[in-house]
Formats: sequence, structure tokens, C-alpha cells
Amino acid sequence: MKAAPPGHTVDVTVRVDLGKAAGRFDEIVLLLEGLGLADAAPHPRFGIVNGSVPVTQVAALRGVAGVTSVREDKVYGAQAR
Amino acid sequence: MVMRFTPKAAGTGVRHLEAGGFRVASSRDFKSATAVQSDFGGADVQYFERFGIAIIRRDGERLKPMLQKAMEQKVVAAVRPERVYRVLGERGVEVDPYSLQASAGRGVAVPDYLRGYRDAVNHLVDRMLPDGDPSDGTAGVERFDEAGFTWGLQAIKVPSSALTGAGIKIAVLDTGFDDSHPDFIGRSVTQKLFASQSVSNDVHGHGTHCIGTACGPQRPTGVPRYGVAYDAEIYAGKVLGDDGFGTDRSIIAGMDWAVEQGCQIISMSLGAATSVGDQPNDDYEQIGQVCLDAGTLIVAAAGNESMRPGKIQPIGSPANATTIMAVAAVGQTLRIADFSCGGINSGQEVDIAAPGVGVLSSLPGGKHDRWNGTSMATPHVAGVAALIAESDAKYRGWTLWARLLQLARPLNLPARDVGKGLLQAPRR
Repeated sequence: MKAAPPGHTVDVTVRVDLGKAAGRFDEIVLLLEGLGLADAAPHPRFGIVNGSVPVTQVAALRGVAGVTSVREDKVYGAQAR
Repeated sequence: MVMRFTPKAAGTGVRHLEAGGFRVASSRDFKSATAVQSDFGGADVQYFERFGIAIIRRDGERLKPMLQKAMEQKVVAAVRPERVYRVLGERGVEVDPYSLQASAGRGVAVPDYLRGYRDAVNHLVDRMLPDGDPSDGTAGVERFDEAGFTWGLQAIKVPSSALTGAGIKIAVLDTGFDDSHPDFIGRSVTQKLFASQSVSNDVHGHGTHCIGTACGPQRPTGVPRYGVAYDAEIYAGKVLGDDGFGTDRSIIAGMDWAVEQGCQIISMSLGAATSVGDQPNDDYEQIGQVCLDAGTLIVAAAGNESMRPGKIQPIGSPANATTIMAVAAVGQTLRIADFSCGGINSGQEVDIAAPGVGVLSSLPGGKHDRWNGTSMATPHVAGVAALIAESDAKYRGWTLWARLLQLARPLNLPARDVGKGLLQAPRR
């Protein structure tokens, strides 16, 4: 993740282990929000939560049991020339 | 170069070469020799009379005018670069060329060097010869008359398909859709906005163009038919903003919506560039797996970062996920488009190729135009997937993926570039 000022917020994609976290998805979302994940968009079908978080809290999100990865969002473009 | 003469014209072909200043040595001349030098005594051309084949070793530029004339007169049937063959190890195990080079005291990466040489020669052949059909190696010309159907629909055999996409839901996650376009009056269209700071309709045009290819009408007014699944239900998720860009947040939300709506196919003509050595994004690996298990196939553009022949870039994200079908682009000559990304990174492969150059389709405001890109190739696959899904309810998710590849027409091109080959529509 890029270096950023302490108060800087990044958009992230959080991936949850669908197997290990079975039945705990809603609980995990609450834990993530408690650690600073804002504007959370949960997708339980995929085991994915999108949101924004202060860059200083990213490591804390990764430490939540059942979370496999926390990745800063990328930008995608239309593939026409 | 390996040159094959047309039957009964080999003598004329040899005389053309000699007239062009080439020294031709015939296999007949060495018939009684106990050993034959590999270069036939220093000749420019080695002619094998029994096979009607000549190997030209020198001066490709000097060959060009002679070759052009010989092709016009139908003296030469085909020309291709000479290949290099090497022994395989014992019990079918390939010898590692890197270890061969290391033991020879050189540090050169031989496979990369040979591939670069091969690609450069192929590029030269493409420039010298008329367009040909690479699937059978002849120098014939494949031309498409677009009076009734776009060249792309003809190449993938849509005109001869009795299927329409009826009953199948295709989600196109893109810049939105102009549902007031005259070509789409009366169609079943569901739209939803996911991109931020954007209006709900398609101001960019890309989404309308892609939806046109996947689902355009059977009889548009004033243009050839350009759409594959003309009876499919359209689900337009605007995940890319008015500027043509979007983030994981909006794209994943669009994917979730499409699955929730029961869409059997999700078409994503979008991507982010990757670099050599990058791993696929595990988020999309997981999402793709969930979708396939639920009976939804995701197809995505391989990316347009290449500048062939010299530079082939790896497939972009999310197409590089193994659970998402990556689509490359070919042009009218069925050669790989020079911008089309390839399977450069291990395990990240092109799955299939489809028309992606000079593709005519709809644009907002009742318009039509030709665009290029793996973006244009991807909805061809989505449309054909809908035809297959309509043909039999067993074709969903993984089985739909397998059927698409099973129907593909092999091309005489590297799998790195075109996967299993050219997309083909089923007859029924």
C-alpha cells in the first residue's frame, strides 16, 4: 500500500475466507466497522466487503479473524481504443 | 523462408527465383552424393523437387518483388518462416533450453530470443503477403461482405445459428446504456447505476457499443446486423463512470447485482493493466468461483496494452483470474490484434479470441460506429454464450465455459494469444 499522510483515507476491498468464516460474515463486517471501516458495502455472496478506512487502520482490519486480505482499490478502464 | 509451389508450377517457381538472382540448388543434383551439406554447397535456395518445396536462406527483401509476382500468378501456394526444431529429452521430458545455454557458457534466454525472432519474421510475412487464413496455412484471402451482417458476426458463424438468446439474461457492466436508441425499442432492459459522480445514462458510449454487440437487434435500420443474441434480456449495470473509469467498489457491486438478478452471463469490457510477474487478484478469483458455482459465467477483456510484434503485455485484471474467461481480439484477417494482451504470466491465460477490430455497433443518440479493442471482442463471447445457454439448460457456469471452448475454431496462432481459438456460435 502506498505511503500516505496519517489521516488519509483509502478505498479498500476486504476479502473474507468463505470457508473459515462461514456464518460469521455479518459479525466480521461489524468488527471491521468498529475498527474504522466506513461506508461499508458488504457482499456476503462473494465474501467481500468494500469500504474506506484511514490508512493507519489497514493493518488492524487484516488482523480480524476470518479476513484473508485487505487491498487498496484499483481503477479499471474501458478497453476500447 | 519455406516456400511451397502450387502443383505443376514448381518449375516456373524455380525459374522465377533464378530470374531474381537467387542461386538454386536442387535435391536432384545431390542424388548420388554420399553426404549433402546442410546449405547445399552455399546456394541461396534449396529446392526439394519431390515435394515442390524451396527453402530460401538469404535476402528476404530481394525476395519480396519476386514473391508478390509469383503469388499473383498462383505459382506459389504458401510461404512461412522456417522453424527451428530441437530434440526432446528421454521419455517425453523436454530438455530445458536455459540449462543448454548455461552449459554452452552463454547467459542468453534462448526461448525469449527465439520467440522474438519468430514474431518479427511473422510480422514481416504479414506485411509481404496478402491476408490469408491462418488456420490452414494457405495464402487465400478471407474477405467479408458486410451487406447483411458485420464481419465479426460472420466470422463467428452467427448468421447460420437458429438461436436468439431468448430467455437468457446478459449483464453488461460498463458505462451504462442508451435505452432510447431506436434499435432497442421494445427490448427488455433493466438498468442500475453503481459508479459514483455520474449520471445514470450512457454519456461515454462504450456501454451502448458493447451491449449492441452482445444483444443488438435482428434487423437494425440502415446498418448490417451487428448483435449476437437479439432476444436476450439486457441488464446494464453502470459500473464505469461518465469518464470510462471505475473502481473495485462499483464493479463488485455490479457483479453482485447481476448474480442477484439471475443473469447467466456477465460481460465486463474493462480492465486494469498488470505487469510481468504479477499474480492474479485473489478477490476476483473468489468472486469468479462463486459466480461459476452459481451458474453465472463472467467474460472479461484481456486488455489492450500490447504493441505487437515487439511488445506483448500480460493480461489485465480481472480477466487474468482463472475463474474469469479472458477474451483476446482478432482482426478481419483473423490475426491477433496488435494491441491484444497475451498469456505472459504463468497461469494467466487467454481463453478465447473474438472479433475486436473495426467492430460496428450502436452508440448513444441513435448512432452507430466502428470501434477497436478487446472491449469489442468480449461482448461477442457474451452473446454467443447466451445462444449456447438458450440451447440447453445444462449449459451454465462451468459447463457453459467448457462448451464455448469446445466449439472454438482452432487458429494457427499461439495459445498465448488466442487461447483455444476463434469463438464460434452453435447452429442450434
